[in-house]
Amino acid sequence: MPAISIILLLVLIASGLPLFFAIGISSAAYFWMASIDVALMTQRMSAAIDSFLILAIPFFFLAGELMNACKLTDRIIRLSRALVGHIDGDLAQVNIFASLIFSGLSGSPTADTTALGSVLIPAMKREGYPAPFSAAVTVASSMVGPMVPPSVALVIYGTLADVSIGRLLLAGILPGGVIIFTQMAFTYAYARCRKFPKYQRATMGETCRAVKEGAAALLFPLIIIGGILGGVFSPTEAAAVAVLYALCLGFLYKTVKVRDIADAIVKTGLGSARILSIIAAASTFSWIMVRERVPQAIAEAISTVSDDPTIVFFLIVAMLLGVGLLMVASSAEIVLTPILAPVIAHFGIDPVHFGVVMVFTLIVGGATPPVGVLMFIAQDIAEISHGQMVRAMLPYYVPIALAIILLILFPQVSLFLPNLVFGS
Amino acid sequence: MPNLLLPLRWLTAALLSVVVVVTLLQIVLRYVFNAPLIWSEELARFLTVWMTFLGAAVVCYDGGHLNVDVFLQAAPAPVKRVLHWFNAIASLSFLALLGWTSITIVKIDMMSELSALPLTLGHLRLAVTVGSFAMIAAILARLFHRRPPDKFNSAQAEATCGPPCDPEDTE
Repeated sequence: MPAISIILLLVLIASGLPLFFAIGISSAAYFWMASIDVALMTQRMSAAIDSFLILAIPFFFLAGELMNACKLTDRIIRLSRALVGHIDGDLAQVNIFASLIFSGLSGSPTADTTALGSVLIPAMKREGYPAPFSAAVTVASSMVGPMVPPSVALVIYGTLADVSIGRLLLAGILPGGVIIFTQMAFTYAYARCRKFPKYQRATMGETCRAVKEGAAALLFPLIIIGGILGGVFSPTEAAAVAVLYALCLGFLYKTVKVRDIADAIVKTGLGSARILSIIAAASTFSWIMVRERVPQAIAEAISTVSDDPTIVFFLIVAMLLGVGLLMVASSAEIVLTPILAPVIAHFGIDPVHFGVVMVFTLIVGGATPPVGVLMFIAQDIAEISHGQMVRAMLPYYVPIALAIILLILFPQVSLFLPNLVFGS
Repeated sequence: MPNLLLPLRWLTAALLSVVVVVTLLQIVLRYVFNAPLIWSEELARFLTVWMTFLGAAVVCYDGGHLNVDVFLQAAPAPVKRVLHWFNAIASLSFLALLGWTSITIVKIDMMSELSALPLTLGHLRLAVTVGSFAMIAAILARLFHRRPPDKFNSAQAEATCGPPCDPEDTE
């Protein structure tokens, strides 16, 4: 019975039916086969949303939208230029480093690619960088988006896998640094070979000024983290405070109009409805999976191949990369997390460590054909063909793959900060 | 042809705003005035459930629900047309089933009262019923009416990591 409903789900998803309906129909089919009252679906779906923790999702969305409306992009770029502009491949390095700062504002790779790309890709082209290279750097670096708090993707994982949100938000920070570092090192080597330019090192005064200007952006993730760690507020309340901070910043800098705020709220309301409705439907489906002991069956199937946690981890990540090729990261995350959480627990993999790697792995699909949303945005800005974009992207899969491997092999990178703060 | 779901769009935004304000109020009252609210969290959760299911109807109207359209886009035109109608009919029948069966559970849960608000669990579950029928209306409206170009079209807000997306490309 569960096999029928899983196959039905896959067929419906492949036929382009929205996930909310695909999941709903395959769950209803199971209920009918198992002669369970379908009314139970209403109960499960509304109960899944009726949770205070879930509220962090729309709040972080809204905070990100408002920060975006604050138009801090120029400040972020000036700050990263002062800090990393003197390294070989100046603007490429600035582009990568700016993504790290930007990920502390919105957590959306799409917003990152659009905001930084629309300024930096034309700037890089003017300085003589090849357009496809400029686009590829933008796309690759924007993938760090969901790693640094506020991260909607990590909050979604936390609510679905029942893992502490505070731990997860801390766990993403160092891996975000690793992802950026591997890309900067790669770009350094690449820039040396291709003789790309570098800027003069910024003076102390310039750096101080840039830091002061960019402080508002740097402070944002700190407030969220600080609030949660200090026990001042719960993750949900921290997210609400983040919204307030973004609002105040907009008024302070006078960059945000009332119209922008209204737009951001409408967009967030509908965007949250999209994600939460899938969470609602998926909660029914994962209830079925647990009832039929599907995660245990998967775990046993994997055991026949290997019992070693690291090998299992690599197997699951390979599967996630495959899923990411076809599915938007957030929807893949919502469907798979409840099924995979018991599986990784079976093999003794740390759920926080796994969450960080999973979120990053699924994002990679945004930068691969056929549905690479990020590539489509960047190629439009750079005015290049899809073929050029894909070819320029190829070398950047090396640092990305390296980052994933490092994150899997060294759980300490993810777990150091949360263990330091919360104890292991 | 006016934008049919404009009121619902603004209602979704209004619900979100109230949820944010109530949560902030809760923090301020607890820390500044040391007088925690008992109803704030329950209200925030209650409104979020309603926001989700009413907002989902607007998303239906915009055609913005997340799906995997690689195969659909690659399919030849006649197959595409068949799938288009199949998907519409499948969605409508599911919503009819969900909406209809939810009535039973709403009736039962009208008996169990919420702890802080003067409402019952049935009022919360009612969001599913109302949402289902609103989604049916929205899908029918999308199928049979030409829609005006819209600023808040969530279909365009395609993001790798969820909804928030660049403000530029929707404008």
